[in-house]
Amino acid sequence: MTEAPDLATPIVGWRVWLMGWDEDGPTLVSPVAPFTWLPRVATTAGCRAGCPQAPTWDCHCGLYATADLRLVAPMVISAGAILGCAALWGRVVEATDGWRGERGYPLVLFAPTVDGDDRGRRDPSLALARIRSSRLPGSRPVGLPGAATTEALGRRYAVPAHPLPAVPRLAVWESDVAGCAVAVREEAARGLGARRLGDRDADARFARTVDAMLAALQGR
Amino acid sequence: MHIGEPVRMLTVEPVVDPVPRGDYPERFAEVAPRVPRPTPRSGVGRTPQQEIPAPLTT
Repeated sequence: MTEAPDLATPIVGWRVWLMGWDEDGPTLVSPVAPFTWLPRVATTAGCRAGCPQAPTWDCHCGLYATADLRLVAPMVISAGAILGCAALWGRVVEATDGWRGERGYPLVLFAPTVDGDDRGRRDPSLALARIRSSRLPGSRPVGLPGAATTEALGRRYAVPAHPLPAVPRLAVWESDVAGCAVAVREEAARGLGARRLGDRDADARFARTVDAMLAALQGR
Repeated sequence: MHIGEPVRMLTVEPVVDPVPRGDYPERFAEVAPRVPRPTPRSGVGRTPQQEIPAPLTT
């Protein structure tokens, strides 16, 4: 007997990735368990503790996302991580502040960028360097991508990707941005089907929520 | 990332695949062709047809 689904639209939450690089261009890499989310392929969770099908109730396995942007903002501010909304589906453990999913795919990306070239981006050790530097007091992000890399990332994953030229302080995330983030997350989920089927109005609605969030992030 | 204590387990099956196909965004997803609906058996549940008056002729 098959189990009736609880939801027919994916769960959408905020999470972060580090930028990796392979022979075809930039990739998204999970920051904790360093594996690559492949372009145009659903990522399936695995479990290092040996759960037969991740996620399980009493383990920590699964693909993570949170409803509250403020939980992931410190990683963007200090480590230059790529922020984004991810769709989660399959088996999903709902927790008090987020979800752990079986399968996932990004829906929109925001990459802290620097102006100029992308020197250093192809060095995979930069991802680790960013994590390590984020743990040091007073450290600054290293190896941020340029706008061209962000655009390539969006093209490769076929999702909107936006550069964040100036990453705001945590206080900004907690005030103005939080409300916009709720709208982006909700529209990312609600309009997904229509956008995939070519509904221009759904595209425009999603773009408006993203623009409002970008404006809030840049203090406009 | 700490997401708190588990609350419930969900089974989520999206109607539209969240993963863009190889041709997106240059070409959009397609809706599956409509399956013809079964017709009712003769005489079952059929509503009487309303007679349409013939147009007046002169």
